[in-house]
Amino acid sequence: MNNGHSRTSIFLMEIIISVLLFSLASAVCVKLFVHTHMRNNDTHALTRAISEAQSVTEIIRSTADAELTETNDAFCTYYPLGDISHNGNSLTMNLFYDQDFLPCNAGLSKFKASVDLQVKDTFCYIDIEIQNDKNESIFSIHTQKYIH
Amino acid sequence: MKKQKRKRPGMTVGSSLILVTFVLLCLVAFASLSFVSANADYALSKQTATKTSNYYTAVGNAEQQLAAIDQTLAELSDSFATEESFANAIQHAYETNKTIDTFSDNDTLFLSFTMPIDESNGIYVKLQVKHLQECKDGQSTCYEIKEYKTITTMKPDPQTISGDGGFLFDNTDE
Repeated sequence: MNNGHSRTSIFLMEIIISVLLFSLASAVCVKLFVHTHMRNNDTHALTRAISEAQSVTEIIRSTADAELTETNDAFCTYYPLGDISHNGNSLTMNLFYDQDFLPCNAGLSKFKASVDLQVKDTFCYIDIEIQNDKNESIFSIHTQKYIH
Repeated sequence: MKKQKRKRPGMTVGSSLILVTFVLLCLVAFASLSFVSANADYALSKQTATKTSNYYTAVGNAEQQLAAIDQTLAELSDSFATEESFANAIQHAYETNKTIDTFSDNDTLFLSFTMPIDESNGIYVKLQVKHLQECKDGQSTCYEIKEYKTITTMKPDPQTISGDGGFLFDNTDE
């Protein structure tokens, strides 16, 4: 009977150790999985930001002229939800994206693309910046286009 | 008569700890693998972002080079009256320029340059110079872009030369 009691105590001790070990390792693993999830979100956002910035840049490069009228028309066609402001030889556009990087209204946005075009002399200066909802810059492109 | 010891059915002492240890090992292994994989993906995306930024910086520099070429060609077109003298003047103007090459093919003059993106890539631009009269008109640029492409500027490593003397990574057509 004494032997049986001892065995039960050892078994109980083992279960307690197992539970402790499991909870400890689980905490570490959950932390790792959360980090992984956040990294995956960052990667997804960065990849989409690069793609969107490239699309906008190529539209500008193929349409930019001294008055930016063609670029303005192209933006109105391709980005109907964009907040566009065209003033002579400068053009600004704010584009808003939801968490899946689909265009949306400003109120629902998680990401914002700011496009700034300035025509000076024979160049169109292109500045594109994509920010997250904490106003941190994810990706930016700064280039120029020669306009004859 | 000896009393036989009855064996308890189910788990023996230690087996639950072994099971938990195995489960934990699996859990930690999968968590570590997913973390390493996510980090690698992020590093790759960062690399793509840097390369894209560098590419567009190089595009901007190439556009500046195009503007400078257009200005030079426009100035030369105003100073010369015949196609031949215009072509000679262009070749003379870029004779000492190490970044811009000039070459002619069937009486057509071409200019080319490579704008570096990073240490191993560059943007290759090949321009065909328009006829003198078109340059004088000033309606458009004095050149027509014939090629605008990303090329590898890195010289092949001698270790990558294959047995037959050719490069495993051939870059000779540029």
